[in-house]
Amino acid sequence: MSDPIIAVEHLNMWYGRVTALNDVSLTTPPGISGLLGPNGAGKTSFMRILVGLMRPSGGAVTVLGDDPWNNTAHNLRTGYCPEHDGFHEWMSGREFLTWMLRLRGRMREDARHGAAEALDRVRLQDAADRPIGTYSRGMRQRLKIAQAVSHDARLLFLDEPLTGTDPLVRLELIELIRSFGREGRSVLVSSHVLHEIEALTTNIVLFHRGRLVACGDVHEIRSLIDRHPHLVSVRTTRARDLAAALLRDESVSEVSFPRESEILVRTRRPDDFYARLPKVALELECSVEELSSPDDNLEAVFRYLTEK
Amino acid sequence: MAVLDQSYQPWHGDFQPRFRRVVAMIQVEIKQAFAGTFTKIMLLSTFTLMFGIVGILFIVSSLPVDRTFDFLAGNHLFRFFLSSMFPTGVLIMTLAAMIGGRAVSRDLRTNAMSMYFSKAILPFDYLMAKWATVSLFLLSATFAPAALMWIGHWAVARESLTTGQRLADLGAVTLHSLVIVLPIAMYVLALSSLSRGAFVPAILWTLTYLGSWTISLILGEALGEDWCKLLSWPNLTNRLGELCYANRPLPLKVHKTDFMSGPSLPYDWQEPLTILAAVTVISAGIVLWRLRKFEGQE
Repeated sequence: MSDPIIAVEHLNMWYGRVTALNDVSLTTPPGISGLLGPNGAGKTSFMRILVGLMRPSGGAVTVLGDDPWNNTAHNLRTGYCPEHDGFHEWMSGREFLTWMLRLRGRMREDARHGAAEALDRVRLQDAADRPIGTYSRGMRQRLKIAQAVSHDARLLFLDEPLTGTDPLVRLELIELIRSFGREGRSVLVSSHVLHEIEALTTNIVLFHRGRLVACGDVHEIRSLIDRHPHLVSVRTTRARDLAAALLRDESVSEVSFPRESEILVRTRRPDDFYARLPKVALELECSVEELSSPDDNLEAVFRYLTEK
Repeated sequence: MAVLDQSYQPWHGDFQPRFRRVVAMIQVEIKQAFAGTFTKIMLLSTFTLMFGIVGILFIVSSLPVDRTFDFLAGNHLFRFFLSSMFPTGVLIMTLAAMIGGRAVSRDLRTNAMSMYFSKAILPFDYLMAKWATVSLFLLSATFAPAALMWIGHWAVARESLTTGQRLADLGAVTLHSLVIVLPIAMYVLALSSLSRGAFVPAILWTLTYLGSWTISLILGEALGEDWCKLLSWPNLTNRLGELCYANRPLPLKVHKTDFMSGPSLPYDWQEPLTILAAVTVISAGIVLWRLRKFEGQE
């Protein structure tokens, strides 16, 4: 088995009295790994420690065999795409990338060449000479990824790279990130959306409230999640009739009424339930006005995992 | 089994030394200062006024009259220009507020710190680049016009000096400019690092500069103690500045003025240098502390 790209032992991070990371120990193999957790889980703190932007309060961190803290050589081999933009808006994309490469020690000509390649890679050639201030959200995300990868980084840290992008751009970015993995680079990408990570990799790390909750193959995590009851909220005009009909189905284990026109259904077989619901509604001739699952958000998934 | 293309190759070219990376930062910082129209107008006005006054001073000092004012004679001309509250003091104050006030605060506001420090840039490099940038702008309003005067003095002044004396004048002008510029630049950066906006550091700096001068005058009048004069920022730089120049007899008959009546502080170099050095070092410490603090908070 190949050496781990990232190795962390008993990592702790405190901001005053707030614990951001609590005794985290893990290793990640080469390739793409997903860092998953709800907002405030400690993903960004973890990533910033790996990038070398923050010194941990305790524990040991090794990235590509080195301690990342205060280590400029580490920054020459890794690339970081922060969650928030940090551009000089008056600069063009080309100027920005050239400058970033010069800050990484490239000679002026090398930097220009590297910037052109990176712009080409993220499909920003047409807008390369426009001020960044005029860029759309998707273009800005692509430019951030370009600055992270432009120096031929061996390991990329991408903090929520898909946030705020439209579905088309999202697909493009997912394909771009997957291409980095295919080339033989390693990528650690964070998100709070499970299906985004599933689209990128099967190797995931789950954080919740600063702790490492699970680590491994996404399918194992998914089955772990699926063993726990799934909540579905149904808004309908005939809540009690629909609830009575649904309770006769084996897939439904419990029904409650948070409001007069809303049913909260608990099911261990969500796929069966979603298939059965339209038929029952049709038989009763009642309309379903809204269907949502509180479990769709990752916070609920983590509640299951941490309470199991 | 999936076959991956594995085309990735690490870069094997030459890297620039650390100094060049700092220079790359300075270049962009200078361009950034000229990015806004308002800033361009302000800078242009400042430099026009500064160089206009330099021209007037120089012409007056080189007029073929029997007597001149003592502050325009010999190397007193440079000292007078660099030590005067107007235009030099006020223009330096304005430039420091405009350029230095936002130097760090803008990066904090726009989350640019992680962009810098995920590259081959350390907080110390960042501090040096910002310090150099603000200092360069301030030197353009101190050293540049004073050096022009020095060149003009060589060409037309009626003082016969050796090359060594002229070079000593240039050295004095350089040193005097640095004494003025370096502590101001670092202090303004410290204020800038304490805020995410450009306005508050600019106001705080202006209050420090003018306030220290005013308080020193008021306390000096009220208490009559020598130490009150040490409270004034301009007094500190002026005292160190005047120690940079060689004493030599004035070339012409002169009208005596208050300006040349004595040293600006009743102290030697140790006290003002200690105060200015302490302010500079503490300011640098504040900036570095704030950089580390904000890295975790962005």
